[in-house]
Amino acid sequence: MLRDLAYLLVYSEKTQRFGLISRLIIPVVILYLIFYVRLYSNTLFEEVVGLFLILIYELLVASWIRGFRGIISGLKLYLIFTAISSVVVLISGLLGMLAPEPATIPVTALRLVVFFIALILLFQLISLNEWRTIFEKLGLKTLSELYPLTLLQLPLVLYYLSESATAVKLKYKGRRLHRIVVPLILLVAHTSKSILESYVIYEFPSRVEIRLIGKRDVIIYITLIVLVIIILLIHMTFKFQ
Amino acid sequence: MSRELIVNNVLEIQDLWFKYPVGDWVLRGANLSVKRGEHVLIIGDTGSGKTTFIRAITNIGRLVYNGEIKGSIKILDKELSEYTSSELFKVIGVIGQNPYLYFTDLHVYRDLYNYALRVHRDPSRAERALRKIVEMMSLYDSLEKYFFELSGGEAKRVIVAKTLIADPQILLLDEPLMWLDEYGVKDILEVLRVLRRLGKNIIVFEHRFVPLIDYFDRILVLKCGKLHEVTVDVRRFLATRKAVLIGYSLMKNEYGERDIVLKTIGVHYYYNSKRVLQNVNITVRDNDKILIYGVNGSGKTTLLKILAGYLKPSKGRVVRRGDIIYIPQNTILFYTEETVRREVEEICKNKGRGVGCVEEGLKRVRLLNIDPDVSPFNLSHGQMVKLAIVLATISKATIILVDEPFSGLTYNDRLKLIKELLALDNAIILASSWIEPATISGWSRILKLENNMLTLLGNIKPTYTLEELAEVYNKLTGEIVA
Repeated sequence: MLRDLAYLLVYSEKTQRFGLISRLIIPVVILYLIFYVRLYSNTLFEEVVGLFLILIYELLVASWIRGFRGIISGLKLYLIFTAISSVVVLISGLLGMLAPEPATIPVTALRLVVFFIALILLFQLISLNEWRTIFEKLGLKTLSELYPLTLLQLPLVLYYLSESATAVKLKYKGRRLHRIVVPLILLVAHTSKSILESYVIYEFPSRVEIRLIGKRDVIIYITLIVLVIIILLIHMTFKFQ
Repeated sequence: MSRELIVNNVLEIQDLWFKYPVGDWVLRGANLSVKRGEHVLIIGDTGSGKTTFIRAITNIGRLVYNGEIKGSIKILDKELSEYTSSELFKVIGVIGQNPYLYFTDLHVYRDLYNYALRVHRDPSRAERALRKIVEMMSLYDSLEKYFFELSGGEAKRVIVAKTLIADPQILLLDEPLMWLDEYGVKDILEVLRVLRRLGKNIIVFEHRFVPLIDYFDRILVLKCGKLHEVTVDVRRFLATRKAVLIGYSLMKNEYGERDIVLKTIGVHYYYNSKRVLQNVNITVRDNDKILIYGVNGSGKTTLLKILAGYLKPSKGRVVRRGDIIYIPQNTILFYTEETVRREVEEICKNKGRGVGCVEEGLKRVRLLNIDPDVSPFNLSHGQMVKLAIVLATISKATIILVDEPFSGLTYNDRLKLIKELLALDNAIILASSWIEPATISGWSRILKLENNMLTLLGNIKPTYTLEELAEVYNKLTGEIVA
């Protein structure tokens, strides 16, 4: 499970066939549609239908990037958010606090999932080198160096997290689990030095020539236009019913 | 004629001293001359300064670790200080212990291509150079992967290839066999053959050096901060040893029925629809010592995590009686407290054991020559493993699960560690991708994890027993007087 999370923030070489602008536009349009659906839906049902369509589109993009595993990861994320929301409702109820209606849990989870997948797509569609070049062009030199350094550590940290959790859980019989952060922080500090070594040896890769547009981008634009039109049509249908 | 062709000694180190910002001198006047085409093996105890030596001669010690350096280092007849970093790593390549830390991109092909572009500065030349290296190192299967998907052997091979893009004359390999199983070792042997064919100078720093010994012209020992030439002919000694057939099937029923502390019944485990374990049945009795041997990726860690109760089996069940302690391969992840003393106090407190437990723990910590007030994170790997075992025993854990504890240990330390584990009163399950521990007597059972199944290990014919390997190490290092 933890290892699966490593795939959420890694880009796919497949996406490089398309221009950068079209790849950036996908999550931007999705985020816009999420807010549009949330703010302008006439009924909860209309919002759910809109969000569901966005989710399907996101899963299609995810499956294009990472195959069937992309869909599974998206659905897992939905289940995790549903489980977290259920726990929150349960605890609120037990503590006598104002708890949301249990029926709203799947909808809230849906909102969160479509939002998070849109953010995740930003990482999956744009390569480390492209991010580095974008940051550099924006004058954010330090960020352009720190960002890849951080992202390169992530798969390793997630693996260490699983190891540390097993060891500490057994060592203290399930207590003091928060202490797993101690070895993790130290290990990350240690590996950071080694990653820095690798940058001294191999240097930062040269800035890439970013391909802003490509012939195939039209596929992305068509699918996005179709999605926008369907959501607008649904909105109109509900509005004039 | 170019400088490279006329220089005889490709590396000339005289009176090299190095220290980190905190602590004493690690290197204390080391000398080394390496002739063109010469291959050198450097061995030494854990913490003797092998990695530091690499950091010192590549200037990484000063640039990344803010260390202090004294002495003369000449690479291809040019002082280290005359090189820029970019120039230096075109003549000297470094392959570190943990290859996963040497990637500067997540995607393997992209990582190699970026470096080729950095070196050759032209896309078509970079592409050509990369194609050549990929072919030479047979990397086709690794190119489309993410670096974290590679096995240890594959990752090392990729990093060697990456280093070769710049075509350096000298290659420094820091523990190239670390974490590798027998297949990974074969991979590295093949890599060394290729490097030799290319006429490179190879300097290897390795604990598990015996499989590589035929590749080297000279062997040196790093001891007390200095390099010492070895005069003992260990090859002759090794040649006198014959592989002996060791059978294990007879051990199956050697032990009588005792209290079962752990039992798995038909355990299956799937990960992303892929079968990892199939119908695993294992019964562990109090005081059993079980060795699980399996190559990298065979599912040993997964099995230990299932036994520990961290992972739930997809099918089947696990019955546990008593406490379990899990010591991960990366032992640093076992520790959570600021000092060793706090480690002892917390484990006693959380396991509901009294003051006597703390006193006993501290006494045993001192027996390991560990100061209770130091941070556990500052200990050497060997000390970390030993301390974890002390903590497990004082907590009265019924079963101790140990995952690949041998990385970074000399043959001698490995032998001592196994003997210490076998002498404990607790049930021990040790997972190893290295077969030599099986040559030590005292195991209740030796199991093999292969093709997702756990079976009793049949006969094995290791080239050398662990005791012989330790003897070789002692012969090499014993003659050196500090």
